[in-house]
Amino acid sequence: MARVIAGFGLVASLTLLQGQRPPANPQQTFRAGTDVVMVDVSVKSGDHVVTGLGPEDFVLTDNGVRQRIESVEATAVPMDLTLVIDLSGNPDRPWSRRIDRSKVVADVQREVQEVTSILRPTDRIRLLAIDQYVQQIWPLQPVPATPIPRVEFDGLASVFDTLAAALMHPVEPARRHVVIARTKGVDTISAIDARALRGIAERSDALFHLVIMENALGADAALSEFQSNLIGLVEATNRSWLPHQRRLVSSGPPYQLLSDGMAVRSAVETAGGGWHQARGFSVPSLTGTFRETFESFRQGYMLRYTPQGVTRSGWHTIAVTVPRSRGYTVRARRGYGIEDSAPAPAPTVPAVPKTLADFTLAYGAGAFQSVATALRQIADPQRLMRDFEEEGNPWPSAPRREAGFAIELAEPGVFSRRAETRDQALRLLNRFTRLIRQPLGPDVFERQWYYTVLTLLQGTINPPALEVFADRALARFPDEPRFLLARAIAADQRSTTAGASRVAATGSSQTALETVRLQYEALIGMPDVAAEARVRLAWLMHRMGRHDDALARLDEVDVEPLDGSLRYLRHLFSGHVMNALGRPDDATVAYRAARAIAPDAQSAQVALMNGLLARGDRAGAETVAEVIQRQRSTDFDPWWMYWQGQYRLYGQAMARIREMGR
Amino acid sequence: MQFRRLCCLWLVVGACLVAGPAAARRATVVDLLDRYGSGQFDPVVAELARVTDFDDLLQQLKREAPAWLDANGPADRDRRELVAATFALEAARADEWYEWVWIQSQPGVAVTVMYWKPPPLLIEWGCQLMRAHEPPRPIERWWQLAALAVAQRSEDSRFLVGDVRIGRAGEIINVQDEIKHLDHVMKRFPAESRFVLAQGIARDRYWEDDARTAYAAVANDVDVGGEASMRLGALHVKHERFGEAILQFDRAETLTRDPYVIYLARYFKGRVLEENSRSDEALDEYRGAAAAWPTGQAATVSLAALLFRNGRRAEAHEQIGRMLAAAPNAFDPWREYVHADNRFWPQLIGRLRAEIRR
Repeated sequence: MARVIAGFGLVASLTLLQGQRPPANPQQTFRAGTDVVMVDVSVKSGDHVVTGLGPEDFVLTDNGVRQRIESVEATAVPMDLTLVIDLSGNPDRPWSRRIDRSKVVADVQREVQEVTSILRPTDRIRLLAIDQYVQQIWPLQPVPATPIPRVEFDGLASVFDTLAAALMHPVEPARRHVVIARTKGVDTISAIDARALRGIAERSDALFHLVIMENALGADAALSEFQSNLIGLVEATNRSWLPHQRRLVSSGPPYQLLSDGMAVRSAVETAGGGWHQARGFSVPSLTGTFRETFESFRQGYMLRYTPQGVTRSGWHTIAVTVPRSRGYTVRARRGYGIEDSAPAPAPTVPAVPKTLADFTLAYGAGAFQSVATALRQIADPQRLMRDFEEEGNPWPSAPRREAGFAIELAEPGVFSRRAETRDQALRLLNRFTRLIRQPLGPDVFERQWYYTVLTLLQGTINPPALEVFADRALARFPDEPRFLLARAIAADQRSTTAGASRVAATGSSQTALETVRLQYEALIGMPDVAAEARVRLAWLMHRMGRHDDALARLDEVDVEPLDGSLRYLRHLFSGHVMNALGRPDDATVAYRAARAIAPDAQSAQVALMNGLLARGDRAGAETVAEVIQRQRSTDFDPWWMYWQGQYRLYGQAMARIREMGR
Repeated sequence: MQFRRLCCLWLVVGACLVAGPAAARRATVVDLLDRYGSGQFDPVVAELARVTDFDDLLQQLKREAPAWLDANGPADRDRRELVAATFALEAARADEWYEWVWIQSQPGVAVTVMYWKPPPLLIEWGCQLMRAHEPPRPIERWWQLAALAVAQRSEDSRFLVGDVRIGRAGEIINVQDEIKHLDHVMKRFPAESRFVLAQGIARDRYWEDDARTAYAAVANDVDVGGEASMRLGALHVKHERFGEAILQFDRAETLTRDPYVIYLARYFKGRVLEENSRSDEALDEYRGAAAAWPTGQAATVSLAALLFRNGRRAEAHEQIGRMLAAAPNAFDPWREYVHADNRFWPQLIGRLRAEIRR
């Protein structure tokens, strides 16, 4: 009996026509003139194709409701052909020889060229290959197809996954999609199984033909047998992983269908396609199967109708018959599906985020500043942090972004007046000290993350918390000068919050100050932080009453590489030290130098005013006082942030984290 | 027996006749070492890809490398050792998918004999160079991690932990030839949790109880606890202990943000849920997995297949279209599951090369 090749085609891919439809309605029926269904049908009498049939010869039902066939046309619509070739290795072979890559490519190229020579200029072709991965060698393209660029082969077999990918291809209106696959039918790594593939094939718009490569199966079995028995190899000599082995047919003659094969064959035939295995001495080939399919296609019919009396969405079962002759074999698509749900609109980024969802959406869209601003105004940061913890990682492929967002969320928390909110913010940061660790060891992001957190915590003047994080950072990056500086600043903050800031402090306070001094001294040899360490050390020594040492340290400060704040503080502190040394004129010069760097900063102005007054220059002092009174409370003064350590650099550090998290 | 040996001999002779002349034209090992040491990494790797006789390469290395290591004086000796050991890794990697080990039964006697092929011997040769230093140099940790990546990519556990059939049919008799690479690495880096995890991965397919023990030992480790939990969950799935599996997958999510681990935990969880007819939850997990690793084919196909069968074709099309459009052979953690640390190869070899350039 000749092989019956079924034609089909739900050529109008209704999913693609959604844009032309009114809004979704579950009970909506079809509208005449807008939703056209086309069904390819082949009619045979025995081995012969039946031609010359018209609309009145066919009866077509859609979900059991007879439909009016508007036209019957020769199937001249362009074809989208997906060829699937199996290049996977022999899963049972103990030993695999080196295979010449160029030969594999040439063989595939030759076979594909044979197929493309049959196609018409209006047809298109794409090529998928089965191996460890689903490979799309080329996407859909006009014939003749481009040369094969690169192909992987001899690996595990993702048969079901590749066939599923081929079958789920969307079909354009007025084109038909044909899938011709040639495989050994031995799946070893697919994510889906034969049952799932059957479900897809039954709902696919593609005409699906499957060719079983019995010759290749035979060759694989013979090679395995030879290597095992003759050479005595009892295991794979390389690549020994075999996640599973699911066969469509048995491994040797007569290559009987196994349960997975039955499932796939049933799906292939339900979809109007064909299952091709050797019969006698006739072995099906990719080209031969396509040629046969193509010829059948050209001689088939395309029925066109507009569904009436049926609910639009959901699955539609189609039945086509030619009542006048019971001897005809009619093959057509068994149905089609319509998805009526409109795609969800992309969420818009809120101008002022309020909920966690708002914040993550805005942050993911790069609206960092609006997120940071809104977070500082949020009434209940604790709840937001709790939601963040409960809802999990919003960006699983971008863990750096999540780690950055955690700092943003924690920022209002660490400055909160409520102890429990502060504690929760610290717990959040603490959790991320684990989550930011990279599998192989500390990396540049982790370093920057810690730096950003340390600059933030310095701003809170909460030395115990700062010390915990500084120690953790140093455990990961033991020689990082910025982290050593953070620890020194924590000790300095602790000394002043403990009341040791006054000159002639108690013995234990002196000990604490001495500890801080040693930490700053150790940093002087580290260029990245030496200047700041010197400025802070000088101020510490001044507090300890060691004014000459303080002045010496300030004189050593290399001005140029310093940021504005440090340059200002250097002059301001010089002025204070000069005053303590009884050099008011020099102090005045220093204050003026500080004022030149930050004209709006109040501390230098006040010091200058006091100095002038002390020297009897009342008029000069009054002039300065007037300037001070005109200043706004928002004007920045580096002195005001001195005890907040490197918090002044938090914005810069956070900007870098945001950039790294993109 | 003689007939069989004759056949083997002919195979070997035939291979030599084909490969010999081509190999003879290739650069010598000393030349390759010089070039590799001078920073010409990619050209040397390309050259290695054309080599067919790695036995010869290994012999050359053993014969000529000692003099080469000393040729630049003691000051350059350590660097040259790293060059040679890293070159050996590159060579092993170039050949490992063609040959690794032969396990041959001997006719007439019920014994099985193991013959290592060049790639594991190359790694071991490099490892000996590294092990000559006590205590281990910091760069050795990176070299051993890279060696582990190469060994895991080979899919063979025998090299790492010994005969996988010990106590069973097919057990090898030449145990003196076992390498058990991980044993001596563990001695040198007892605190390195990745090597403990590797013990579990190597035993996963053969000695599940031992694998479970190894995973449990590092289940709370800050660096590998997430991956250990995920792999433990996968073992539970194998035995259909779905509840325990899900607990481990959820646990993995709390321990790490490594997208590779998150992807696999979610993908496996999706499979469990789908298997138990909890399709909507499975969809969420597959979606989550695809979000964690957008080029992961296993989760993408699983997601699209479920969507398609549920009539949500547009979303399925979108998923598949994106997957196919991705770069050819985009990395899928499931398809590389046993290759484990091979995913770090670019970082590891980059670190070693940077050290060589110094």
